[in-house]
Parts: sequence; C-alpha cells; structure tokens
Amino acid sequence: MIDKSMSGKIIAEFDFPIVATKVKEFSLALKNPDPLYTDEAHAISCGYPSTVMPITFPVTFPFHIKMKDAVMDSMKLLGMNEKTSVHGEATFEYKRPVFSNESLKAVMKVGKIFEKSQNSGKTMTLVEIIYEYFDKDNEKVLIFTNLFIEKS
Amino acid sequence: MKNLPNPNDLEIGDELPNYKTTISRTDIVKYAGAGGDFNPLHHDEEFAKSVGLPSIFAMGLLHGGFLTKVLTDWAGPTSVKRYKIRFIDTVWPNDELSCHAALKSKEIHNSRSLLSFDLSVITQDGRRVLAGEADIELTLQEN
Repeated sequence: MIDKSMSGKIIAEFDFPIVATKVKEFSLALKNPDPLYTDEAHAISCGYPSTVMPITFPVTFPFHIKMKDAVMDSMKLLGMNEKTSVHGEATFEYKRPVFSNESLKAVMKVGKIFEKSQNSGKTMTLVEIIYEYFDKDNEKVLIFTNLFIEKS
Repeated sequence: MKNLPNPNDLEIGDELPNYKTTISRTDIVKYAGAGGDFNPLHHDEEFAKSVGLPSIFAMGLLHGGFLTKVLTDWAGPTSVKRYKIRFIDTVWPNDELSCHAALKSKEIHNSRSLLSFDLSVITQDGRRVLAGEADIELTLQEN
C-alpha cells in the first residue's frame, strides 16, 4: 500500500560532481563520440567552459547517493510493490546547460502521488520521484523527474 | 560554439535525420556501468529467466539516451530545454532501433525560437517502444 502522505517529503540530499571522464564514459556508452562530450580541449576550443553534460546524465545519481539502492530503497520507503511497479516516464528540464567540472547539489524528493484507471477497470498508482540540481550559486539548473507506476 | 540550425528551414511534421542502432548485450552492460543502473533484470540472464522473462532487457534510458543524439546532432548539445520520454514496450538484445524526432510546433519570439518535437523509438518489427516530446530553444541566425 503506497503511503500517500510521503508526497513532498525529501528522501535524500547529495553532492553531484560532473567529472569529465564520467561524462565521456556515459556519452560513449550512448554511442555518441561527439568531442563536445568527450574531449575537454576540443570543447574549450569551441567556446564552452568544458565538455557538455549529456541530457540524460543526471541518471548517474546512484554513484553519489548514500542509499545502497536508491530506486528500490525509495520504493520500499513509499510502500510500493516492486514486483508490480514499472518505470513509466523520465523528464529532464534544463534552466541552463551544465558542464564538466561543475559540482551540483541535489535534492531527491517525492512528488505527486495519484491514481489512474486502467483499461481493465483496475486502478494504478503513479508516483513521481523528483531530483532537483542546484549550482554553486544555489540556482536551480535542472529538474529530473522519474514516474513509477504500480499496477494493481 | 556550434553553429545553430535555422528553425525556418524546418516545417511542421518534418523529421530530423533519424538514428539507427542495434542493441547488444555489451551495450546494456556498458550503460549499466556508465549510468549506475545495476538492476539484475538488465544484466543477469539467470535472474531474468527466473522471473519468467526470455532474457535480460535494455534499460529504457539506454534507448532514451540514444534518441537524444537525433536532437543534439541537429541543434547542438546545449539547446534542449525539456526532454520527456515514456517507456512503452521492452527492448531486447539484438533489437534494431530507429530513433525519430518530428517537429510538432514552432514559435518565434524576436530572435529566439522554441521548437517542440514528437519523439519515438521503433524496432525492426514496427513496435513503438518509446514515445516522448522535446523542447529546443534556438537563436535565429542572421542572414
């Protein structure tokens, strides 16, 4: 049974350094060898402060969070049934681009928890897990939202 | 900085150049290592079969990541303001994927343009495994 009172609660806060070698590894794992992601000298020569953080790079948060398994532990905290839950959506919203050698602060929290009817007539519960990333000036630079769906 | 494309060159419904790739087991393991998703359903064949699956399967954010290349190859790596993807169906090892972005709307305000795209990833057998939408902001180029 999902605990709807968890909506709005902070699950974790952590540092999120953007390391150029991890940016390169991530970009190459996505089969994208663009030197703007993989070669700092090239990125700087093109007028950027360093290599550019790929759009979906915020998914690498598990390397920086203290929880053993951030996704599974969060599901347990919320009372979700991991056997009937799936990852439904991911959204990345950028206020500005982020570059290697920046260090962001991140807040992981529970967003909306709501229900929808399935075609079968059964109800499914949708849970947002929101990651907000802030720069050294405490400006919010991006929001990454995961939507998990628990089917009944 | 990368030269930005001219949004006036694109009409509603036009597709950006698509990107095709085949997912291998090595791709899945490399992405697990790079991204930090060590759910055994994505790398442990015995575990996947023990829960009734035919094999391991790819993380949605792997092909969700492949798809970003269609946008950034066209608009550059710093123009995407919003990227939303929905995971519709499962991607298995050896699936051949085709990543698409089609212009849905275009707004031009002074020198800035906001372009919205419909996104999809389709397999070799026509399954739409991912859908989504993206907003790209561009500065109009002077002629």
